[in-house]
Amino acid sequence: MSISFDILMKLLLDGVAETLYMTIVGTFAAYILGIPLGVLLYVTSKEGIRPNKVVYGLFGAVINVIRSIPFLILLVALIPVTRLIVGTSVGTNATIVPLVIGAAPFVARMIESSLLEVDNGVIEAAQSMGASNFQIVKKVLLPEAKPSLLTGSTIAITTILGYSALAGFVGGGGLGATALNYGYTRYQTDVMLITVAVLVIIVQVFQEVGMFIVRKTDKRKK
Amino acid sequence: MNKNQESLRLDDVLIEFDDVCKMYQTSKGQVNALTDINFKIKKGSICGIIGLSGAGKSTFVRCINLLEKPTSGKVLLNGENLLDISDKELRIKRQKMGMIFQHFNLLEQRTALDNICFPLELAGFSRKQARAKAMKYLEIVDLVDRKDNFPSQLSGGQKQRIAIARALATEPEVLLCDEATSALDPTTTNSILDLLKDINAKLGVTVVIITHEMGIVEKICDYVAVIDKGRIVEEGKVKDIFLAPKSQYTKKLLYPDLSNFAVENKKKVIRLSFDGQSSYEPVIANLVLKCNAKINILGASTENISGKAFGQMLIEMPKDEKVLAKVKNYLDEIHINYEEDI
Repeated sequence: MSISFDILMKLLLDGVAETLYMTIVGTFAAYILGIPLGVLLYVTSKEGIRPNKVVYGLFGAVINVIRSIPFLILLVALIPVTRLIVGTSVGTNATIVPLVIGAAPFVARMIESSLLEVDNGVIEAAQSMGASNFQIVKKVLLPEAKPSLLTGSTIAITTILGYSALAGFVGGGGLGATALNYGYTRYQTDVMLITVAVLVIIVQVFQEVGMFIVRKTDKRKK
Repeated sequence: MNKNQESLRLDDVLIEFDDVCKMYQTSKGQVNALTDINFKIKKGSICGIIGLSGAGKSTFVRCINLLEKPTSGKVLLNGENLLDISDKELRIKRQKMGMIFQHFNLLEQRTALDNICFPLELAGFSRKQARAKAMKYLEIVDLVDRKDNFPSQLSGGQKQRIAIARALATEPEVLLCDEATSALDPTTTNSILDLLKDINAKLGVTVVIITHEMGIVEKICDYVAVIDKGRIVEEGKVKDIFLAPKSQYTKKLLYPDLSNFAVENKKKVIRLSFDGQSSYEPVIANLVLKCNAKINILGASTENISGKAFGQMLIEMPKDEKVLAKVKNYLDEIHINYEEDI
């Protein structure tokens, strides 16, 4: 081993803590932005409850543009914005800003597609009972799409975890930075491999826990 | 317009369509889903709207609660034009119009009880009030023991019962049924129809039934409108329509297989309608023995309900005036309605 066990453990523990911090805070914030955006996309889409070509086209275009930019480029391009919000463009907190901006459009699209899965008949039934559009979103669409939304969020959290690994490039922390700094820069392949193994375990845990929750909450098949 | 309709007093009319038209723009051009519909639905009645698929009957029922807005005309509920009121007022009116669907459309992530609570929550009832009211309707549809089940754990008939309870929870004046039994087997269909009849009798809720099956209209409706290509081709009391259908389309609905019978010119076809005569009377045997008529049964759809016969029978016999007179005489004697030359 190229470094002592104690140092390795500290590296890994710090890395895991920072990675989880970035991923969880990032995912949370991405959903705060993504949910209203996804609902807006659904509601204004052609199949939605209040179609609006202009709004749908405009937001759809912005989302597509952001989604086309590679995350590494976005990370660099957003440095001025990050500095404005966090006060610095270096470090773990600074990584969260581009993480959220990069992930929110992706989350919005996923929410839109989850909502599209809700049976139109159920929405029609709610309308026949005199539900307003707001009530339909709150009491029909989101609760009925819950299992699909949760499946989406497991995908989102693992994707955001992947994004966060690039934080090392702008001086952020986390396991990605550890792998980059020790494995790539210092040629310590063993450290890199161990770090990657830990990342794999974290993704597995997220995936399994996520699907477990989905199975628990879905009332359709029991 | 039918005389029965003209004589309806204004207070008796719950829903009225006044020159309602509905058009759609499609890529292939304009489609007239409904054309010049004038129709009244009487308070407390069970009214059937029958037609083949694509006839416009689903659009018809959706124009009642304005899930689809007519292109022109008026839709009156208790004399008030629903097209004149604001969206907010319309939503309140809709709470007084329950609707059930072919595919039930229950909320899959809510229990049976919570599904029934749903329209009450929309109407602003507290959770406790909603649950108490919902329990009452669960009792009416006889599914109290299923209150904590999710829709996926219920059979089709049970789901439709929950949907009925849900539609009734806000105490509507009318229950709109859009092909409500089309996804159910015959036994379940009958039990749902019985339930609808019961609700109509006990709660006084007007019921509007959209269907493509004559049997359903026959079983529970008082009044029926036959709809084809977006127009009402015939309307009247169910009994009258069944005994003497005027339009070719209605006849086709009544006897979908009639066109398959190769009837020779020498023969005569008579349709017998049973509407509650004794089923113990050996009608066919007497036609043969007493009237000397060599009859042949072309088709029959009859039901024996507690000793009384209901339904239709199509018989064929030689064109012999003497025999025919005897047959008519006999049928008149035992009060069986019939129609010749159909």
